[in-house]
Amino acid sequence: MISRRAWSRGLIYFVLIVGAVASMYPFIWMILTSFKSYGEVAGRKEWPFTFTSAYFSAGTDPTTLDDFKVGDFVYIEGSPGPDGIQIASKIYYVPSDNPRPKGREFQITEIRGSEIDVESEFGHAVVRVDENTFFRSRHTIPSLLYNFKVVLQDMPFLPQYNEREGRWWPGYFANSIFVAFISVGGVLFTSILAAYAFARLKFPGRDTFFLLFQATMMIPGQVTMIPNFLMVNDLGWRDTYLALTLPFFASAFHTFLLRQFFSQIPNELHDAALIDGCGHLRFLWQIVLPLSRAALITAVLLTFLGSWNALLWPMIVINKTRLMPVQVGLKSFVVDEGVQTQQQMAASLLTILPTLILYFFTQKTFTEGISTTGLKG
Amino acid sequence: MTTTMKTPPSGVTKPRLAFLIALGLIALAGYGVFLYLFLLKHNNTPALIAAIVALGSLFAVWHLTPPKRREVILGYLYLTPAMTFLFTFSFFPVAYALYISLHKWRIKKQAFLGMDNYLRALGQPGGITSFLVGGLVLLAAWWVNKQDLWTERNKPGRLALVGLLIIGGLALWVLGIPIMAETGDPDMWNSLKVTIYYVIGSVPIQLAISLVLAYMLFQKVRGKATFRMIYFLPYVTSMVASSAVWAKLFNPRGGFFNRVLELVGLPALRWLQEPKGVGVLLFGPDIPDWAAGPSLAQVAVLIFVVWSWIGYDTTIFLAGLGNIPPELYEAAEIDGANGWQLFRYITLPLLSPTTFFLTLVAVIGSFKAFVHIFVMTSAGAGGVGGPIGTNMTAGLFIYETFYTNVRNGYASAIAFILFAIILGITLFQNYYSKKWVFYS
Repeated sequence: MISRRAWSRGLIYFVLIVGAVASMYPFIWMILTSFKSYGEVAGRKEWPFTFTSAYFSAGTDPTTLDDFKVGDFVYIEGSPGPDGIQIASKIYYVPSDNPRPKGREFQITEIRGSEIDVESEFGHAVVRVDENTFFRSRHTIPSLLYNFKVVLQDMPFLPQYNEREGRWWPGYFANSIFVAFISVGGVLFTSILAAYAFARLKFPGRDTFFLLFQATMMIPGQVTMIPNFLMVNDLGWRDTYLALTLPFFASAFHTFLLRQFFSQIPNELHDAALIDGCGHLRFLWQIVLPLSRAALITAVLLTFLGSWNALLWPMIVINKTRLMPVQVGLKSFVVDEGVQTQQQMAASLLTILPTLILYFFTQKTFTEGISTTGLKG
Repeated sequence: MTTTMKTPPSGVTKPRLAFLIALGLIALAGYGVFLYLFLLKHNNTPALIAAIVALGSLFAVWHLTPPKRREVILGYLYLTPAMTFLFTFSFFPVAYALYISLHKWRIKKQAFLGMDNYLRALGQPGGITSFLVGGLVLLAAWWVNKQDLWTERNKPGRLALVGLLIIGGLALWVLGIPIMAETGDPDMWNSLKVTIYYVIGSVPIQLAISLVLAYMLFQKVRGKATFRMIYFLPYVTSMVASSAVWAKLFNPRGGFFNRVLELVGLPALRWLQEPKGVGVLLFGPDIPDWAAGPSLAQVAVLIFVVWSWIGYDTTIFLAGLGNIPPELYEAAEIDGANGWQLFRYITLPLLSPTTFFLTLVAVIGSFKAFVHIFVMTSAGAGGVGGPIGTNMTAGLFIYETFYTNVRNGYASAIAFILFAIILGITLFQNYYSKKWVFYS
């Protein structure tokens, strides 16, 4: 007989693990898909490495009809030739254990020289191959990282020379990193000074100003978006880094957070420092900041993340591909129905990788920082 | 940013103080003029003069102030950078948006319209008046109820009066809202309806699930840190990437969800492409319009929203649970309380500030929601806010009006209506938090 206690422990772990699987599944699916070949996605394979040997062989591109055999599933695109027989423009191998060819997917029933007989749920057909037919056989899988290679070639993620403009493009990543660093610097500079003023300096109107700061957190972005866009437009700042960074240089939220930390530092420290002839700026720099390391790291991480993941404002103010941050580039890639799924997932994975790495290394500080934001202090 | 000093600091005579304030204001004005000329007019020489004037007066104020009082100047000085940016990109834009909302404003400013943009969105003035008066009557009911003049003897009178006011206020709303919805902009009212579905469909569920997860994580379990880290993953990843993944999972042809349905023997659904309400899908097409509920496409978005927020909510709930003193549990256990009673009578009430905070964050977040709906609907539903506008929440509608249709004036007016709603909800929640939130 299992005790009640064991039952409840079991239930707790069951619920926690179900939650963890649900949180993780989309990521796992994204990672697996980004390694799949076209055929594996089309054939709805769960696991990307169905052609293990092919990944490690050099690949025998270009392939011919000889690489196909009777019984294979293939994806065919073509047009009718002069004598009525379809001439294939593309023949792709579709790995499928699932014997239900859909749409353009067929099964080869016979190969006769340059003609192949195929069968689908709609019936029988004959397809002719000519010198223009493009094949992708089971051997045409260049490497495990094929999708990433395609993405990095098709999209300006990395710095590259643009022929048409005749100059170097920094690439999505460099743009985003640059903008994020500048934003972090700006937020740190303004928030530290303001938080210090609120926490440790006495001046008339301080509480009113603090209320004003907090009020900005109530203003929805949709209200300020339109006038800010018109202002940026009038200033001629569209398609510049200024538009991406300056509006985010002050953060009421981080000022508020840092103020909480700064006011916890005991007054005796300041009195002692004053006796040593230490001004406010030096006290802030040499004593307050080192003591508030945790809060500063939280501010840096949250600002970086916010900047890296921002879409709406960059999408509005940046039209030139040269200046696009990574999310704007990714957005146009993932909503494009002409792009293949496995490549969209590879691009998504590339985009979230930096934040994931950052998160794994700082997750303790990070979650603790987030926790303090939810508590009234 | 430097402003007037209202209370005279001791040790400085009055005329001298007035002089110092004047100098401080000159410094502030010089700084403002410098920014204006340098950034907007690109007029460098006058800008330089303004900067010199500002710095000069600042220097003068600093040296004329006794060293013990310089903290005041330092305070304003430290606030200046942050205030400059907040003023330019938060406060001033609110006023500017109000100005824009009173005009017909396409790419450039056109005719002055007064309240026309608001009327176009909200409908006939009669309906709006009825709604506003109804709100005032409800406020009056609350005010009357709060007064001290009610003794035991006139309790029935109080009940009758308050009841009458509440019924009257609600009646005015019932009268006014349909008129507004009928004569106003149908697209705007649709976006409000969709947003309300969004709030109702995401907030309670996400809070309930994350409360359960947090409560279980709070017990002595192995791998607590690992679980917390995994739950939190969706919150750190970019919404563009994760919504792209979810749009694929909801793919009607062979996506994850349809394969699960297939596995349990249910018919496949169109998910993000399905404009029909869930009520229609469950009970057939004969049910009335109001019972149709959100479209299946919106339910798909809501599933994503719950997934992406659970980690954040769980983390905050965990912090809240950690703040409950363990002695309370021990005392209750000695009194013979069981697990459910502990949860119901200790955890829930003491956690209410956290619940309140998370509700507020989630509701305001719902009104601002943009990125994930934008990406999911453009990737999976064939168009922004689709299908047939059943995912067009307020945030998306404002974006469409402003950016796609270039109707800046009208979009600003709707943004202000949204602002008013968010303010109203915040005030209402703040008031009710005092009633049921238990601060230890």
